[in-house]
Amino acid sequence: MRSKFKWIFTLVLALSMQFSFAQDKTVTGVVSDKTGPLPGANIVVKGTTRSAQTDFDGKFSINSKVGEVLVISFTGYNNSTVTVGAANSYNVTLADGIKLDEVIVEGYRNTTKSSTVVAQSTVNAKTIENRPNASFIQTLQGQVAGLNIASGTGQPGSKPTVIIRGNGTLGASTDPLYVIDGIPTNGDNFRSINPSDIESATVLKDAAATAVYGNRGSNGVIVIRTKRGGTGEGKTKFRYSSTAGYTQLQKANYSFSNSQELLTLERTRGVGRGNLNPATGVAFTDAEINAYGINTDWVDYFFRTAKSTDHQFSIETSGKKLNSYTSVSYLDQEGILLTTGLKRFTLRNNLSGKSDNDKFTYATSISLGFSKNNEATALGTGGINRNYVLGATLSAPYISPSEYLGSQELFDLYNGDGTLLYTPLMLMDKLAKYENNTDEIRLMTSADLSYEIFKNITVKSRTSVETIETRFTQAEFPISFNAFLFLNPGQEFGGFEDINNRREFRFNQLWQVGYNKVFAEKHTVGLLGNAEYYGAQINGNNVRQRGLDPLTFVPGTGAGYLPDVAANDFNGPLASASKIKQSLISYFAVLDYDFDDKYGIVGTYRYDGSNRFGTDYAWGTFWSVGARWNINKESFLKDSNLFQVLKLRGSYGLTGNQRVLTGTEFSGLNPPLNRDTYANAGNTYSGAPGYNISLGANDLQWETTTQSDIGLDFEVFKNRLRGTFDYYNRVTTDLFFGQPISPITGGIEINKNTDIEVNNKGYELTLAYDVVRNANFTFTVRGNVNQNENFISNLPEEIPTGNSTIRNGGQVFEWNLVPYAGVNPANGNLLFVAADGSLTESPNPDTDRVANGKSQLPRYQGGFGFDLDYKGFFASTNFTFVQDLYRFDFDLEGLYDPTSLGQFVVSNDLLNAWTPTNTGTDVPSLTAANLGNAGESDRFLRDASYVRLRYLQVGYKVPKKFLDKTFMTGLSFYVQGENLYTWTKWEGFDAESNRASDQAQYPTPKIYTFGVDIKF
Amino acid sequence: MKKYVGFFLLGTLLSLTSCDESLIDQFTPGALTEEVAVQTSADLAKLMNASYALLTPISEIEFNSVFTDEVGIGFANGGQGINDNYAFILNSASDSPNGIWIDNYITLSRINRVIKFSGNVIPANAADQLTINRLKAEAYTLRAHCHIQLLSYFSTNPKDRNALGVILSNDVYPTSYTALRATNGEVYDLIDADLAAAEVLYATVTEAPNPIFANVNFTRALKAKVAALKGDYPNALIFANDVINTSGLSLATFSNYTSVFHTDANANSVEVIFKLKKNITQTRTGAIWASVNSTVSGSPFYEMGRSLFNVINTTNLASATNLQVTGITGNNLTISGGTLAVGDMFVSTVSVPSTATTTNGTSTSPSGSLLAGKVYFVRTVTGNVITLTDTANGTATISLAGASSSNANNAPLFPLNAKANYGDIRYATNVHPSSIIDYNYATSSDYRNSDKIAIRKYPGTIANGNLVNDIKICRLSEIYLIKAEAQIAAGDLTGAAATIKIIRDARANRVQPLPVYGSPTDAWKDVLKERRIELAYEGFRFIDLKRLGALANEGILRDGADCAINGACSLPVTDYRFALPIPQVESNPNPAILNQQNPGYGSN
Repeated sequence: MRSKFKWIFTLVLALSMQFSFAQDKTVTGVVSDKTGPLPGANIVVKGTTRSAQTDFDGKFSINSKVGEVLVISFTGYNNSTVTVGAANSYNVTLADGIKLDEVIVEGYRNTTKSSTVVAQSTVNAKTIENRPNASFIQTLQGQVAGLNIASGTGQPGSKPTVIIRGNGTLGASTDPLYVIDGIPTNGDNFRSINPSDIESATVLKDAAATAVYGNRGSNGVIVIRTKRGGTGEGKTKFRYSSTAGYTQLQKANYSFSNSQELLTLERTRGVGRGNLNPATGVAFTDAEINAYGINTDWVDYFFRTAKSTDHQFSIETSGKKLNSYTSVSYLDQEGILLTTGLKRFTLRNNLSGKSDNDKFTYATSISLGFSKNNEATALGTGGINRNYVLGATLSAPYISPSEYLGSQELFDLYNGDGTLLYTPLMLMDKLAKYENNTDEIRLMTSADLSYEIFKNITVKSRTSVETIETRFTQAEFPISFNAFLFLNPGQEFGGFEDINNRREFRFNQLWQVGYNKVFAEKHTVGLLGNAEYYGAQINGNNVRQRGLDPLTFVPGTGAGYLPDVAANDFNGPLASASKIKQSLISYFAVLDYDFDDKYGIVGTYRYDGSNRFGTDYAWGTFWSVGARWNINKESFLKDSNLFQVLKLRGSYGLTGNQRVLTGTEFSGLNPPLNRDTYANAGNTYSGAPGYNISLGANDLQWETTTQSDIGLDFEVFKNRLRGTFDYYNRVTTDLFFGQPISPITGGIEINKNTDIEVNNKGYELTLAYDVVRNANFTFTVRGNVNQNENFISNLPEEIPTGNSTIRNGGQVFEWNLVPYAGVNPANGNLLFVAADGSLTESPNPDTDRVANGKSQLPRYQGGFGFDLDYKGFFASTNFTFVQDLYRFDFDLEGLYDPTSLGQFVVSNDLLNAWTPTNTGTDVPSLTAANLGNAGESDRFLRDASYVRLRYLQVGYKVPKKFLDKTFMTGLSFYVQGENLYTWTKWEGFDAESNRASDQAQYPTPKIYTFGVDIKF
Repeated sequence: MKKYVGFFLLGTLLSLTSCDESLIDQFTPGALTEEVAVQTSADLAKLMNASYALLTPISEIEFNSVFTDEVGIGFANGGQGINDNYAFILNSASDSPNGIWIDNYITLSRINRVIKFSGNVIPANAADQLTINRLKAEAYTLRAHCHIQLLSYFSTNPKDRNALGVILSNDVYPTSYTALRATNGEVYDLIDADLAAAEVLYATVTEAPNPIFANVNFTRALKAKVAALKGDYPNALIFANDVINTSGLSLATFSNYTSVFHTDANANSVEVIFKLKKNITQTRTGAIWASVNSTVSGSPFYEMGRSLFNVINTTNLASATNLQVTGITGNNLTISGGTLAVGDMFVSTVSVPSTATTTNGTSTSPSGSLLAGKVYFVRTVTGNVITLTDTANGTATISLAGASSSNANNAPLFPLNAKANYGDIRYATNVHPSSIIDYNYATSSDYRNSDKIAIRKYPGTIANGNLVNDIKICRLSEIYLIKAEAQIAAGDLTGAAATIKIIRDARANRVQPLPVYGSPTDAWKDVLKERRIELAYEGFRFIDLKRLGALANEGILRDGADCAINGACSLPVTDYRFALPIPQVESNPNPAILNQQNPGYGSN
C-alpha cells in the first residue's frame, strides 16, 4: 500500500554461449577487407547454428561439410557467401557497404541478423568497455529502444531499475531475466562482474524471443556473452587498458539559506539561535547577523570529489583446437558521499576447444569476482544520526565542523540542550565511529559439451554453477555518540556489531538435441529439443553482538565481544538463520523453418514448472510464433539498389512472470504466498511462543503476458541509413497485485492474481546514419526512442492506494492528489482545489483527490548521439532522455518547511513568506495552520523529465604506421565524461531516480576519466 | 555400430532429462498450515499469545496524547505530529484512525481463531480442558475489549443504541470478506454475550487471576466499562462495585505507585487489573514521545503539555501554600509559614543564585543552585528547617551548595517566595525529574527551549532497557472512577466525592479533603480532571472528553504557550472529529462502507 508520505526527523536506534557443432571437416580461412585482415568477423554455416568468429589476424576455423554455405559477415560490410567444396581453406574479402549478418544471440540458439524473427537489440563490447560505471547495466542506459534504466543511487556498483517495454505489473517484479554465458541469474547485483569482459549484451524484447524462457520471460531477457578467443592460427595477443578519473556531485538548484538568511528567518519566526544569541542571551541584532563569520557548506562537507581507477589486462589466445580468453582487472572507485566506495578484483578464463575429428566441442568459462563495498546506510530516512545525506541537505550553515570535538564531548553538548541542530555533528561522529563493509566473492562456472551424434543431429549439455558469497559487517563503536545516546540504564557499554553471511547458489543443467537439415536446397529446417533444471538457493545467517569492549574491539574480528552477564540482557549475540529454495523444471522446443532466405517461421513451445506455486498450479505452458519476410531478397526489389536490407517481422506469443513479488528472486517463497500459514515465533508474549499468520491465495500462479510485435528492419542508401522500427502490444493478465483486504480478515493486503489487466503498447525506433564514411573520416549519428502507453483495464472498481490510484484507463502508479492552488492572500494559509472546483483550506482526501494522468514512469525515453572518427581522432557521445514523468521532491518540501527553523536549514525563499504586509507571495505564512494538508496534494509533485549528456568521449587512436617499430599493435588515449550536463525542471541533485519521491537520497555523480588502451 | 552408440547416448540423455518432479515441491520450512498448526492447547496458547502481542495499543495512546491536550511540541521535535494530530487535521487518510482500526481488527482476527479452533482441540485430560476454557475465556474477554475500543472511537454517539457502531468481528473470515457497520446495539449485544460467556468459562478456572493475561477481573471491569459507555450507569455501579469488592486488588499508594509504572515491580494484588507484558526489544511505548529515553536529554519530540502539567503540579494549584524561605544553610532551608510534611511538593519562584541555569535538568550551574519552577519534594522536616529531594520518595538530599554560598553574596534576596502543597505521586510518575521547568514560561521569549517537560510514564526498566514497559490496559483506579460517574449519574454527589477521595488519598502523601460538589457539572468536571491526571498517557483522554466533555462542559484546551506554534488551541467536544473517520484501510477494499462514513468527512 502506497500510503501518504510523511517525513519526520528523529534519532534512530538501529537499524549465451556460442554453439559450435562438429561436422565433417574443418574449414579455415582468412577474412579481410581492402586494408587487411578483419578481426571479429562472423562466419555462420547457413541453415545451422554453427558459427565462428575471426581472430586478431582475421583467421577463422569452422566445422562444415561439402555443399554447405558459409555466410561471412561484419558490421559495415556486405555479406559474402562461400560454398564449401573440396578445399579446406577459403579466403574472403568483404566489400564495404552491405554489412551485418551478425550472429544474433537468442539465448538457447544463435541466428543471423537476416534470419532472426525476434525483436532484439545488441550492445557490443565497443560500447561497454572502458566506461567508468561499476555496473555495466548503467552503461546500457539510452542505448536500446524500449529499455528504461533508472538509477536511484550513486553508490558505486548498485542496482538500477530496469524495465523493458513498460511496467506490465502492479505488484510483481519488473526485473528482466539476465543470462550470463548461459547462466540464468538476476540483476540484484553486478558489482563483482567486470564490464570489460562483456562481448555483447542482447536485449530480447518480443514474445518470439522470450517465450523460450517460459515463466521468466515476461519482463524481457538480457543475454550477456563474454569474450572468447578466436579460432584461427595459434597466436597470443595482449591488451592493457587503464582509466583514472574523478567523480563529482551534480549540483542542485535549491536555494539553501546562508547563515545570515537563516538567522534572520529564525529571528522572524521567534525560534532557534537567531532568536536567542548564546553570546548575548537575546535575539541577534542586524549588525550581529551581518558580522556572523561562520558559513559552512555542508553539502560540500559530506560530499567529496572522489577518485577512481581501473586496470584491465587481457590475454587472448587463438588456436585451431583450443583457444582461450583470460582477463584480470582491478577497480577502485570512491563514492562521492563520504565513506562509500567499491573495490573489485576479477579474474576470468574462457576456454573453447574441440576434438580432432571436430565432432566433439567444448567450452568452459570460469570467472571470479571479489569486491569490497562500503555502502551508505539509512539513505532516504529521517534518521538524523544515521543518514549522511541529511547532514548535507539539512544542516544549519551557522554550525561549524570545528564544533565536533569527540563522541563524549558531543554527547555532553547534546545532553546540555538536546537540540536537533547538532545533526551535522552527530553525522560527523558516525563518519568516524561507524564502519560497514560488504565483501563479496562471486564465482561463475559453466561447461558446454556438444557432440554430433548423427549426421544433422547434435546433442549438447550445458552445466553452470554460480555461487555468491557475501559477508556484510557493520559496527557501531562502543565509544560513539550513538552508543552513548542509546545506553540503557545499568548498561556499561553500548555499540553493536552485525556480521551477516549469505550464500547464493545457482545450478542450471540443460540437455539439448538439435536437428538441422536443408531439403531441396531451399528448405531449411531446424528443430531444437531441450530439457532444463534450474535450482537456486540462498542461505543466510546473521549475528548481532551487543556489548563491545572499547579497549579491545576491532571491527569484524570478534575481538572485544563482551559476554552475557546474569544481571541483565544487554550483552551477547543474537542469531538468526534462513534458507530459501527456488527451482524450475522446463521442457521446451524450437522449430525453425526457412525458405530460400526469404521467408522464415519460428515456433517455440515451453512447458515450465516452478516450486513457487502449489502443486495444481506449478506447471505452465508458454509459446510463441514468429515470422519474417526478407523483402529485399524479392526479385522486385533485388534490382533496385535502394534497400540493402528490408525485413518485415511479426510475432505473437505468451510468456509468464513468476516473480510475483518485487525484491529478489527469493521473495515470496517462504512463507509461501499460496496458502495461509502459521509460523512459529519465539518470545511472542511474556517470553512464550506464538504464531505469525500470513494469509495466502491458494490459486496463486504466474502472471501471463501476451505480446504481439510487428517490426521492420531496413538499411538504405548503401547501408548509410540503418534502422529498426517496432510496434508492440503487451497485455498482462492474471495480474499480480497486493490487493487491499478488510483488516477484519486478519490482514490489510493479500498478494494474489486478479482480473486486472495492464496494457503496454508503443513503438520503438532506432536509427543510425553515416553522414560521412570514407577511409579517413567517418561520422555516424544515431538515436533511439520509445513511446510507451500504459493503462489499466478490467477493474471492477477503482482502488485508491493513498497518493496514487488504480483505475480503468489510468496508468500504473497514477498520481491521485488534491490540486494545490497556492497561498490564500487573506491569511497565508495553503489553498487547494476542492472537487467542486472551489478553493478550500481543508481538502478532503476522500473526495477532493484527482487522478491527474501523471505517473512516476516515463512515457518517452531513449537516447541519441554520434560517433566520429577522423584520422585516428575519435569522439563519441550519448544523450539520454526520459519525458513525461512526475515525482515528488521532498527535499524541496523539507527546505520549505517553516517548522524546521531553529534546527535545520531552510530555503531562503521563505524570506518571501506571506505576512500581513506581503500578501502577493507564493510562499505560505511561516505559521500557516494547514501545512499538513499538503501531504495529499500535488504541491511538491514535479516534472522529472530530463535530457542528459550521459556520455562523451574524445580520444586519439595512434595510426598503425607509427607503431611499427614498437612492441605495440594498437594504442589509443581518450578522455571521457559521464552525466556531464542535464536539462531538466527538476530542482534536486539528480533528476534521475527510480523512486516516486526523493528525500535525502544518494545522487548519481558526474564522472570524468582519462584512459589509455594498449594492444600488443 | 556407430549408429547404435549414438542411439545409446541419446537414450541415456533422454532418461537423464526426466527430472524428478519432487524437485519443484515447495520448500517452506516452519510454515504450517492451519490444520496442523492448531491441534493442542499449547497451539491454542500460541494463537492467544499472538493476540496479546498484536493488541498493543500504540496508535491509541499516541492519538489520545497528541490530538488532545496531553502533550506539547517538544524542543527536539523533527516534524512529528505538527502537520496532523497536533493541528487537529484528521481525515480518512490520517495515520491514527487507520492504526486504531487495523490494530483492533487484526487482533480480533487472531482472537476469533482461538475461539473457533478451540472446538477442534481435543483435551488431553481434565486439566487440559481447563486450560482450553481459560484460553477461550481470555479470547472472549479480549474480543469484547476490542469492540469496546473500536466503538468508543468510531461511533458518533456510543449512548445511542441505534447509532452506527463498527463492523462486527466474531468469526474467521475469508480474505474476500467485507461487511458494513452494525448499530451500537448490535455491537453491545455481542460484547455483553462475550463477557457473559467469558464469565461462565472463568468459573471453571482455578488459577488465580494474573494481570498479564485477560482474567476474570478484567472481564468484570469491562462489564462496568461498557455499561458506562452505554450510559447504563445503574449497571455500571453494580459491576464496578463487584470488581472493587471481589477482585482482591488494592489501589497503589504514594509509596508504591511508581513501581506500577517505572519498574513494573508491583505485586499482582496492587492496582493493575490487566496489562500487556513487554520484554526487552519489544514495544518501546515511551518512543511515542521521545527518540532515546524519557529524560529531558532523550530527544523528546513531544513534552507534557502545560495545561496538563499545571493540574498535575500541585504547587500550581489554588490550594498551594505561599511560603518564605528565610535562609539556606548547607542543604537546609529555613521556612517561615506553613506546615510542611515529608513528600510535599515545593517550588521556589526565583532561582538562587539569580543567574542559575540548568543544562540537562540534572546539572546546574553553579552546582547546587536552587532553581525556580523546579518541583522538589520535601525529604525531611525538623521544625521549620527542611531538606529537599528531587524525586518523590527520594532518598538523596538535594545539595544546595550553590544556593547556600550565594547566601552570603546575595543576602538581600531573603526572604524568598516559595510555594508548597501536598505531594501527588502522579507528578513524579509522569514528569521526569530532569525536566527543566520555566517558572515564567508564559512570558518566555523561547518557550520551546526554556521549558522542557519530559514525559516519564514509560521510562523502561533495568531488564527491558529504555522506554519499554508493560502497557497498562485496565487499572483499579479506572473502576473507582467509573463508580464515581455512576454515583453522579444517580445524583449521589457525596458518594462520588467520597469515591474520588479514595483515589486521591491513595495517591497523595497526606489525607486529602473530601471534595464538595455544588452541582452535577462540578462533579463531572472533577471526575474528568481526576481521569486526566490518573490515566494520563494511557489512551483515555480523547474518549473521556467524548463521553464526559459535554457533561463537564469541557473540550480540548491547550495552554496558549503550547498552541502558539500553529494556533490549534482548542476543539469543542461537539466537533465532528470526536467520531473518527472510517479509515481508508477499510474503505479501499470495502468502498460500500463510505455510505456509512461519519459526518464531517465528506463522503456521504
